Amino acid sequence: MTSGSKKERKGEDGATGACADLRAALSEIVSTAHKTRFEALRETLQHIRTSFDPASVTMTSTNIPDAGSKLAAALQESQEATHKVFALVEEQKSLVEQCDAQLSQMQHIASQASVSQKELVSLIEQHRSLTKKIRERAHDIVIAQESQDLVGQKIKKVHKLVHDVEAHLRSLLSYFKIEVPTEYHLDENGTDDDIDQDAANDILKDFGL
Amino acid sequence: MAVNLDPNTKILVVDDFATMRQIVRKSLGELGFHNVQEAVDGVDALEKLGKDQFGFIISDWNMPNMMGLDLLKAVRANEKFKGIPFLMVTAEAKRDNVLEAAKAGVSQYIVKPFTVASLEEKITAIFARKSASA
Repeated sequence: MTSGSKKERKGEDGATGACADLRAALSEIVSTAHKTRFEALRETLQHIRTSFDPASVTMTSTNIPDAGSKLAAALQESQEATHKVFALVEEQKSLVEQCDAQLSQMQHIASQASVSQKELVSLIEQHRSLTKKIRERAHDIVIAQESQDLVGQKIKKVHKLVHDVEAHLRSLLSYFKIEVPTEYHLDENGTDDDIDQDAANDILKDFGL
Repeated sequence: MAVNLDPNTKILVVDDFATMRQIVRKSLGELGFHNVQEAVDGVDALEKLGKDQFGFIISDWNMPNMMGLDLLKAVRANEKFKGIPFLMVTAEAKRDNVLEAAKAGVSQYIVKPFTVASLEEKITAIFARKSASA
């Protein structure tokens, strides 16, 4: 019995040794495979990181939120300028009506037999004062349009940012070999294919409109 | 002044942009129409249409909650106000948009920017056609 056990133990020792070797070899293979894949992944991520313009970090954390608030501000400024123009135009209309009323008065007085030169001169002076105000309001209306330039500048900056973001996204998608539909590409001018009123009328005519 | 449209006609102007609603309102004022109500989108417009009698609707295309096209379809599908003339006044000047609007029963379509003259022309055309078919 003892010799058998010894034989078995010897056998077991041999088997254990071989198993251990096999286990160690397998462990090494798996570890190497993991390491290789991990290294490959790390290299890929590194490549992605370095292939991006470092400015895109700034773009994401600062420029994009800033662009959003710029657009909101531009919209607000544009609305305020428009309301200002409306108010000036209403004032202008009122001045013109006053002018009309004065001219009617002057016409009535001039048609009368006895008209005092002093009265006429006074009316003309009042009229001149009104036309001066009308000229000033017209100038104020022109000045109120200056906000359009500020709004335009803000919108241009945002447009450029959108264009740059699109370019970065395309390069990322291209890196992962993902196809991008070309029909949605925003060109440098941001233009698309709108039709004019005449073209719209032609379409409506086909419907009897 | 547009023909065949009573100056007291109640007009509903629908646009999410307050400035645009003012511009349309003032333009209508220049044409002698002062009975104007405003709605901020299609949902608001349908609510107002349900509560009052309107003779004319002027709507933008791009609006939150309910687009102008969806408003048009909802108006045409409603027995109570399906016959109200509907003018689309919009910067959305794509060929497909005009086609869709025409198929959905729009009365006319104006491409922005518009003038008082072009608005008058369209209103005249709408109500001349309405009178002719009456």
